[in-house]
Amino acid sequence: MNCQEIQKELSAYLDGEVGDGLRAEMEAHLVGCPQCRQQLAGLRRVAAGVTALPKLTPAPQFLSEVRRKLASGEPAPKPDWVDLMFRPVWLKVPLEALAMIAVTAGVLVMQRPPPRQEFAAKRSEQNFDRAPKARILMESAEIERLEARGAAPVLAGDARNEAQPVLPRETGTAVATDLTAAKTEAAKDKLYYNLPAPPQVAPATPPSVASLPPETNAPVAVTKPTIAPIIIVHAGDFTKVRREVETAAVRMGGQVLSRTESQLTGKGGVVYTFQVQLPPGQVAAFRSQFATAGVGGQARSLMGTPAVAQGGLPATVTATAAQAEIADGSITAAKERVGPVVVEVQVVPAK
Amino acid sequence: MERVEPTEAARDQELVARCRAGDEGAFDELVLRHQHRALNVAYQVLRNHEDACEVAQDAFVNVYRHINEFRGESEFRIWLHQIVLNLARNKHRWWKRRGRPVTVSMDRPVATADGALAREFESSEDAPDRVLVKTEFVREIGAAMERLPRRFREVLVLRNIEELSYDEIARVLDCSVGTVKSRMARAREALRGRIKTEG
Repeated sequence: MNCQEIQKELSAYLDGEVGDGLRAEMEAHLVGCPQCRQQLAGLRRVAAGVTALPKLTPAPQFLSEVRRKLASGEPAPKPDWVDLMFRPVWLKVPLEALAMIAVTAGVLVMQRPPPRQEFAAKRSEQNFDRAPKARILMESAEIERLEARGAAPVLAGDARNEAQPVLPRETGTAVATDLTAAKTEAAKDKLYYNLPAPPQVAPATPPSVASLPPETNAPVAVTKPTIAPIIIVHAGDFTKVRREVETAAVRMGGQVLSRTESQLTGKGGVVYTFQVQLPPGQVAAFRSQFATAGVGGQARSLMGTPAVAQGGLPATVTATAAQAEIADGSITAAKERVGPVVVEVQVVPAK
Repeated sequence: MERVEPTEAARDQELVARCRAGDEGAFDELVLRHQHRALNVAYQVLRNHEDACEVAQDAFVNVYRHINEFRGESEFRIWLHQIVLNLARNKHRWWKRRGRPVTVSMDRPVATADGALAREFESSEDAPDRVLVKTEFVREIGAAMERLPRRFREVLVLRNIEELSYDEIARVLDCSVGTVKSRMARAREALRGRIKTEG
């Protein structure tokens, strides 16, 4: 043992609290080490000084005072709040710290959205920004093929039908009466004409698992977009309207999400429905184009008042007041930050 | 203070048993046997006579009221030390929060209802087997003790005044023997660093 190790044990050695082996080793060291001997002498002197501290003699009435306190029912001093809260320290402090961490973590988790949703939201924005034109072209080709061979009816509940669900629509007011009735009847008959889901283009070289972010393999939550008012276009030439919609969507930095055909039961004809995702700032321009250009026709204001009249196809836009804010482009900055807007265009047979 | 012999511990156990059975005389005997011990442990920790008296008396009140909870797994004096130290800590904290100095000078006379109480200096002449220490050195030790952290004072008093073993101190303080060992070494080093006079 070196001097440092010896000096660490000197206090216990002084009190006779070291084992026989250690004591023998220390004594052998002390014989030849004046520095450790001096250290031991200093500790011994201090201990003797404590022992020699003056003592108090209890007052003669000590016992009677105890008896008086007992007889008077004087409450015994209770442990103070420090004892109640923290003692024994080794038990209560760690438990209290753990409880505090758990509560803090719980509050933080409740206040923040799950990280996976944040990732999904970012990815959704990236997908939006990169404008999947390829998908639009492929879907266009599908539409043309469908038109060429005639739309084949599929039962609702079919796997393909479920694979491409129609996005929930928050508008629900003042849709053209004939179209609502037609859709209701179509729903009763369970006759829908859905396009197949766009095929996924496999990358040339699949990325290695290690290079993918951990969320890649997990199901991704889809950000719920803002739903704009439905734009109803009465047209006799569906192909023309479709091209206009696709062109406008791509030009404005958006994309066509889906196209659906619905049979107007009992009335004949087909209703084509487009769901177009647009940047919030482009909604008004998009709507305006379909009211005044390309398809032309008669357009009415958002609240149903006739506004623009051109020759050709009439276009009708219906919306609630709140949705009108979005469609008019007077959307606030706060709303714009929400995310892309989905506009539904329904092309119904010309009257 | 002399070490409590096994016969002393057995006597304590007997008195505790009688006290539980309602023998008031047994309780009185327990107080008389241990009042000196309780008073001086409280005094060396608190360094204040009035507080020490109050704490020591309250400790016996607690003993009386909770005698049925004492299971006799350890010696009575260990249990008493625990009670005294708990009360002394509460008192120490109580004064600390109120900003009063929790110690008084050793040189100040102790005034009580009965007049000044004599302090018994354990002089070197009375204890030839002990290391010779000068009175001035003892005063300096006392002053240095007042500046030590309370936890250091506790282990020093329990060891060098009450002469408890490390194992007994560990039971009183509800900690490990290793903790007692390291705390004792640090307390003595701290005390050594605070004194100037050579004993």
